[in-house]
Amino acid sequence: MLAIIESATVLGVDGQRVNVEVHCSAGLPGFTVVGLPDTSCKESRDRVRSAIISSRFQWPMKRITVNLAPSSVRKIGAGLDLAIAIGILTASGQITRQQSNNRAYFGELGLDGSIRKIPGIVSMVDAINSEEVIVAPEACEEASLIGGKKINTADDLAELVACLQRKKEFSSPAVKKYPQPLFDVDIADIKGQEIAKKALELSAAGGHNLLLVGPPGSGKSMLAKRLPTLLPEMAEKTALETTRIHSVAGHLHAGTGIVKSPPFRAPHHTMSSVALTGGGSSWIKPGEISAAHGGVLFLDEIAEFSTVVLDALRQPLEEGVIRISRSAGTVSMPANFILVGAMNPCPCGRTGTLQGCCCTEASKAKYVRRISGPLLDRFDLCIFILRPTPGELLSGASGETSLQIKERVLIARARAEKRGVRCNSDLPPADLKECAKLSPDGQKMIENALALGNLSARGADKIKAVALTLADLSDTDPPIQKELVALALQLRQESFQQNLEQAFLQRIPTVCI
Amino acid sequence: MPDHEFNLQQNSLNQAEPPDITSQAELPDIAYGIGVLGLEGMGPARLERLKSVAEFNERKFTAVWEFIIKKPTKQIAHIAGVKQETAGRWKQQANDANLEETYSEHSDLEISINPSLEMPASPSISEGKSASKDSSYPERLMNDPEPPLILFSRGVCSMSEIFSNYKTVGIVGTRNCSRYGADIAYSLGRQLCEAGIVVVSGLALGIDFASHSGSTEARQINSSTAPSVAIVGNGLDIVYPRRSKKLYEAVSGWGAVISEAPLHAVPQKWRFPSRNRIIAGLSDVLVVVESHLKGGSLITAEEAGARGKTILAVPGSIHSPASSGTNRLIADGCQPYLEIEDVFMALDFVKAGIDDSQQNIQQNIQQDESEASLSSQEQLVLDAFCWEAVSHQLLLQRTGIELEKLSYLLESLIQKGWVARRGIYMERVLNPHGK
Repeated sequence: MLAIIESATVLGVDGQRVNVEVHCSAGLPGFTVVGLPDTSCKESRDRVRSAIISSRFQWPMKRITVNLAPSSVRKIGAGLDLAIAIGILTASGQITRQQSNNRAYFGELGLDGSIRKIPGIVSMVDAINSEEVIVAPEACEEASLIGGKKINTADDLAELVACLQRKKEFSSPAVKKYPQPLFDVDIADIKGQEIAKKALELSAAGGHNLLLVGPPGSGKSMLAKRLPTLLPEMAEKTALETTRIHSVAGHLHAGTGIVKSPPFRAPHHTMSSVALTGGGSSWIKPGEISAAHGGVLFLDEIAEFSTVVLDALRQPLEEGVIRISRSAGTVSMPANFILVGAMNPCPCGRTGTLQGCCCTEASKAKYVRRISGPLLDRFDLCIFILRPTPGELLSGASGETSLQIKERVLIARARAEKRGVRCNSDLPPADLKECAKLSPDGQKMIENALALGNLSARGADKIKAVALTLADLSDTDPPIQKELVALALQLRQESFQQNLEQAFLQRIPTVCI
Repeated sequence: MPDHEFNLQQNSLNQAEPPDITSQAELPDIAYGIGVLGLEGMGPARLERLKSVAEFNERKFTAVWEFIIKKPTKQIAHIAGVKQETAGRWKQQANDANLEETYSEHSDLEISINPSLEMPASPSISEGKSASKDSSYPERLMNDPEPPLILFSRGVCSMSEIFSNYKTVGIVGTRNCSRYGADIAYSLGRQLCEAGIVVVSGLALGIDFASHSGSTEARQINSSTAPSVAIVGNGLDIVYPRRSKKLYEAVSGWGAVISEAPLHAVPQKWRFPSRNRIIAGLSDVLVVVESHLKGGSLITAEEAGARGKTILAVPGSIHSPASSGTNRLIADGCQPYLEIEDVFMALDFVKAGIDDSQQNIQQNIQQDESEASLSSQEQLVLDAFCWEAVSHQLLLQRTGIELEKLSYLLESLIQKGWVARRGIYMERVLNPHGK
């Protein structure tokens, strides 16, 4: 007999529907699984067999063939166990087709028949056609995040079959209330540093990438960690995408519900390129940049990251997705995040302190070269931070709180939405030109900077986006005032190679023998 | 009879006594000198010790060369005060060397040997030396406590032309200088050159670079200014640091670049103290523009002091690490440099009268005019710099002007050239439109 049971597997961060076809025929007893199962999938045989026997069902002494269709897609993980088991029971006549029909089954089976949770439920539930879904009890929450499907659960295979045969009622999973996540940090914790705080505000409002440069102890990590407190809640579409990614990566913990607040990921600089961007040999797992989708990716000690890793970031920063190619095909995963980097201005770390820098020109140049060029270009904002003075640290005066700044951020974001984008940094160049009209003085400033060689043509566009965000934050319309343009100019760093000698050589142009 | 009229310029062919080995008899003694200096790690101290084996020879360098080739490494090592491996390497290199070729490579350089090298076979020789017009060895170095044995020079002017006809001022300072110091070095270099004084400095980045840039600018404006001299620690065929290439060409184009090392000598750490002492020796007055608490320029100052030269140090902000060394010099009794007249006075130099005062007035007028073009708010921001490197944040606090407005003022100051961004800081620029 033939049975077809619906289930799903994960491809990148999306679910991929799988039809589990089970065929029992006469012949030497045997059990084969075909359809490109991966190793843990292949191990299903033993798990399913023990589970069925432990649950007091009969293991059919027939030739059993399981096909996981479509057969060109690699099947990942042990989540198809349950579907295979139900398929075998159906094909051997121990359950009728009507009883097992119209449902999708997700779960791993223990040797005692218990049904267990698997990662990626959210994406999988999204990918199937049936209206009813059977999952493990711990997975109910995750499965219910996507609306529109009926979720049912059972503790083990025996109980599940009993429910299917109407001998028992399905226990209805409790609907959980998800509390609003509270931050335990606030930007008011930081004393002084108004310019850095302004930069954070800009970054939150316009989605601009931010680079913090300063000696150790100047507060770069502290500032970066407070950026999420300024970000608005994610829009539904983004929230769902992020939830799916976190589900596949296994980051969704019990009680979180849909990920609403923007994630904050801070990978260590020893992380490999694959762990950061995503990928892997057997199955393509989302990396840190996808886990940061909709939120912030913070690279502390960015100069210590290997150049290969930093180079891999360029495409996602440009496009908002990461495309990973393998011989089997290309997978595309969302990766739209705000990049925040922190670094020292020089290897000795003493620039900006009283002792002064002791690096040679050569070692300093070598150090900053790692993020010069194309990567530095991606940062719209670059702030130099110095250690706070004792006076500042001990003063009782505190600045604005995160909530106060967030109000302005929300205003700015609302203005961006009217232009049709989530935030200003997503504006395509044509629209930017249209929306970011500068005042004549402002235009002149940019032209002067271009003429002096302090700004590149590409930089000029980035400046306009930042200036537009500044205008949005103060709730004013274009034309944008010259003061805001000036601030945007100063926040942009074209290159770290600023040597004194250049300035002098310019004064003696005609040197001849 | 020994020939007393030594021509110490190229091709000295005095054959008083036949050399010990007959091969390469045409090569002058200096060729052997170049060979010896070209040995790896052969510095002035070691050469001095080796000189003792040539005590009774006329051709000193030939004797040293032969010593190295023929004698056992143990003996060489003992005399020179080096390890046997080093002596072994010398022997190896000496045996492999092609003296003729190396000598001909040096043919377009001016080579000058310290006359006191020659052991007086008779007293008249040393007298003849200082009186001889052919002597190109700078007189200032003749009574030096550690004079260089050989000097190599490349440039349009010869060493005797420069050092006999002009007064000299040495300008030294740290490579890691601030804009304040660099601007002062630049201005000093320019004014000295205009006034007809030779600027002696290295070609290192920072203060040295700035001072020679200044003297080059002076030369570009008026081609009858004094020549400049750059002292380097490596061979004259190597430009180190690379960024100084243009300056190297400029200085050799109307002055001279001088080194104690033969061609192909790479810049090595141990060569720099020797270079510094040449700067100290050749300067009548030494100006230390900026230095950290520990620095090569402080050592140069010490060397100058040991030779009885006047030293001036430029004071700076007590917050600036680059001025901590120079401020400390002043605290220890060194005379501060406040204006160009301080150098003239130390030199007993009187500048050609009338033109000079007019020029000063001219300069002041120009300075006032261009400053007058700044708005009062811009002036306020400029003053808040207090002539030290400041961060954005610090200016915000000092001026109390609101961030956006301050940014606008700063940006226009930058675009007009009054302020320069340098890495983490901004610095005020001296005289951006001045002459």
